[in-house]
Amino acid sequence: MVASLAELYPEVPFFIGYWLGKGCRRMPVLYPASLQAADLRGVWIIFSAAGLLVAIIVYALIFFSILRWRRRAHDSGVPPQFKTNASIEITSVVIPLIMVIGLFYISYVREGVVDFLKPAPYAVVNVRAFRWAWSFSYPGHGIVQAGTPQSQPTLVLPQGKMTQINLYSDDVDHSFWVPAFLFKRDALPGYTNHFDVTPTQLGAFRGVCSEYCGLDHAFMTFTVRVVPLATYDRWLASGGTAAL
Amino acid sequence: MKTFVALFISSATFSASVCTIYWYSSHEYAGLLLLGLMTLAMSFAAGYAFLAERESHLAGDNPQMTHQQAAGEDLGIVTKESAWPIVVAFSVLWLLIGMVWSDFMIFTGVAALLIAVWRLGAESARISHRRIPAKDGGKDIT
Amino acid sequence: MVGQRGNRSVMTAWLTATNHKKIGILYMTATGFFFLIAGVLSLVIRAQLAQPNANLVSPHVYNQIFTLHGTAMIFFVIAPFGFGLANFLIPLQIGAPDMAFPRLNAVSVWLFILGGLTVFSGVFAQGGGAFAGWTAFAPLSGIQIATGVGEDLWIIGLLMAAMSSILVAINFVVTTFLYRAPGMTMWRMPIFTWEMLATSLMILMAFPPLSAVLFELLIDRHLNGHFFDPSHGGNVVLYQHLFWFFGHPEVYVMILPYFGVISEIVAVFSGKPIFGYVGLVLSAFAIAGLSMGVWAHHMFTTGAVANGFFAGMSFLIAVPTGVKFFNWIGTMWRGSIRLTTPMLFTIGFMLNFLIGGITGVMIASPPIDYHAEDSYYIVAHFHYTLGGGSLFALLAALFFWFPKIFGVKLDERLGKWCFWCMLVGFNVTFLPMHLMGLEGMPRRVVTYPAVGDLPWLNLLATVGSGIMAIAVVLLVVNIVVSSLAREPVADDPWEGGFSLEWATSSPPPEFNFDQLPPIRSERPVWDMHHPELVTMQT
Repeated sequence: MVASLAELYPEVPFFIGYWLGKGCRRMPVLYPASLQAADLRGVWIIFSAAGLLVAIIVYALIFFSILRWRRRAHDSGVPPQFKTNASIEITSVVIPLIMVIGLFYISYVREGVVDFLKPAPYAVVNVRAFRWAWSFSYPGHGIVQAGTPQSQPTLVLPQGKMTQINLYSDDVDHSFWVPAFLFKRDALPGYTNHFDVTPTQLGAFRGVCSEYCGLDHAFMTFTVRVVPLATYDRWLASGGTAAL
Repeated sequence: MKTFVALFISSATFSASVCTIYWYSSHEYAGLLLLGLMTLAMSFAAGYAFLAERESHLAGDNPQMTHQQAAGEDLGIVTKESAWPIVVAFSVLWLLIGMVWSDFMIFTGVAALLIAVWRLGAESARISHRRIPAKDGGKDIT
Repeated sequence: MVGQRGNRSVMTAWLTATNHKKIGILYMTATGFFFLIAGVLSLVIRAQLAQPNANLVSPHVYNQIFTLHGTAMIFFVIAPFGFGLANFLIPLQIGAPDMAFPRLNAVSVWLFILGGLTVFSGVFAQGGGAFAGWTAFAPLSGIQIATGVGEDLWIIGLLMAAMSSILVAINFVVTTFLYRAPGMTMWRMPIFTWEMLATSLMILMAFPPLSAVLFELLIDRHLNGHFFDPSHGGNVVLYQHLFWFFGHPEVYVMILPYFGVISEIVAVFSGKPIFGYVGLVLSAFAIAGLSMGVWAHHMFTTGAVANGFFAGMSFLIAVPTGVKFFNWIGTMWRGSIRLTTPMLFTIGFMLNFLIGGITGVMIASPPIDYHAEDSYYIVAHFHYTLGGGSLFALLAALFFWFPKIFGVKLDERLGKWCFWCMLVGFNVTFLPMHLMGLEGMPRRVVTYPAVGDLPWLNLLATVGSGIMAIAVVLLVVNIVVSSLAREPVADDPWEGGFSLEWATSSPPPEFNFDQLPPIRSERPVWDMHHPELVTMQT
């Protein structure tokens, strides 16, 4: 038991730091699990920094005005009735415009890098979305693993190698999202979508459907298992039966 | 009124530019159609505004106008009340439900709608127009 | 009270009303009832999501609840409150006796009310109400999956709301252009009226495509159509193009009237003219125009649209919005700020909307949107703009104009309690949602697993929603208590009104003005009360 509250004080920053650190560890934006995610993280950080700067400046202006020019009981008369200032108004257009153009450029370049479908992937997986589960097939190796809302399937990927994923839908719009990869792409009926991913971290990562598709949308989940290259090759060769 | 014209001419120009840039960046037909129709709509409004502006002499557009000077200007129709608008709303609901449920509802809905519109037209013939009176104020005089 | 009839019943008077003030009151009262229902639905959502793997409600019921909550708030609360307020205010602000087309106005309000009742009636249908989300993407909303009549009732209700909005927009545009009082040039109109003009143009461009896509959905469902059915040559992305071409301007239809409200209130309670009048007007139209060209930023993850074009246009919209912010701050700068309830909600709007705007610029970037799309990050973003933004401005407008509309001043102390509860409750509910989304919680889910921080973040959000509920209760109590107290209200109860509605009694007489002051600037009532400060202006 603590004798007084004062004894707790040294512990508080430790606790805050501990929980912040633990929380941050769960934030995919800070711990990307693929090469593409590492690229995307850069965009997140730049935009968040710019947003924070804008927020601080505008909040400061708002709070300052209220505190400084709040009408006091002894105030009388009217405040200065100015209603225009050409240089301020023009600046308030030009500076945000420059910022926005800069942010667009960063975004556009990074998007190009992530979207560009590179040739010669090491692995290819066909992902089929249907109400309400996923099916993963590895063409050329005869492996097909389908899930149900009660048992989620596992997508196996090799660490450090590029996998191309082809997305299909059997019925309605779905979306394939792996938060650890900071990436999602829709699976639309009548369309085929493709993207690359090169996982860098080993482990098991959550995957969810992120386009509302009806009754069991919330249960349409999957797991992504990233394994060492040798394990992956062995698993493929065994027809998907070898242990991971 | 020049504002009215300027607004629609800039909207039409803007729409045309966006539509063109969109087509060159995407070659996508749905967006082209939507933006193209928007351009047409704005251009139609711009053309109409340009022609109408020549004959417009609204009291509201004259920054120095007083009520005395504007006496007699038409303030439009003022209705006390009318039962037909709610009939229009109900008949639209009826006919839309008919699209899902039964053809009979569509026919009767359209009939009710036409009757309501006819009665609204008849009402219009009897409605008086308000005009700006000689002294300041907005009291009805006709 | 407005329009008491001697020998006709009060109910007949309201059912056959064509006066813009009555129609405005009908609109705003109906949205009040729809708001309470939609609010209760949101409390059920938060109750279900308070803990992981809960089953307070079944998935099918939950899906109907969030569908109805979104549909109601968007189509039957936020947007139509703006139309109702505009209906009441525009003729008063420009010195006109009524709208240009009073009976068309009445058609609009009844289409709206009946449309709302139709959508809500879906819950009583066999198979339940609509469950495909407020966006009702095909093929989920098609007849094979949404087999019940609930989805049809949703479509019909929305078609009526769409027609209603188009007609009311026509009324606003014609009235604004043609029925201004002598001396009320376009560039002397209040900012609220200008914002409504820009809103009306967006409605006229955006709602017809909504009607088109809803009709196409009905045809697919009942007339053997295949617009959105890929197995017969249809295209699901077409649905999204048509829907979002409407859907994006719709969100600006839901904010521009409220930008107008904020502009009016911030000027009156700073005791200064609105700063940057021309900039505010031009930015309204810049936003309206640009908003028509950004729709597919809702489709970045489809892989089927030109991401670069839409990202660029979306970034550009941030600029005129920023202009407005700086103009509001410029209005407060060196002013004499009175922290009345409307002003508090106005400041709350600015603090909240800024966050929504910043996250908006972030998700305008496709690389960021690849992670954030369809997650709770998006839910956080649009609640900050529509809830923290539009709803706060709606409450500001309610407190500001209630005395004018009803001749009753709402209690200031209760009002301030309501504000603080709402500010705290809102932020406690929606700030955690950014983190939920970043950690990978998708939206429109009946439940979520006990992973990461999701459990405690969701619990916190639920607690916040309870605080917001208290704020709403305080509001309702305020309205009831103040209406019973019935103290007479002056023409200008806030002692500093600028625009013409403050030059007439509270509530105004049937044709609005017994006497109009001369109109020589954008603040005719201020000029009337401060003749020593008036200079010749255009």
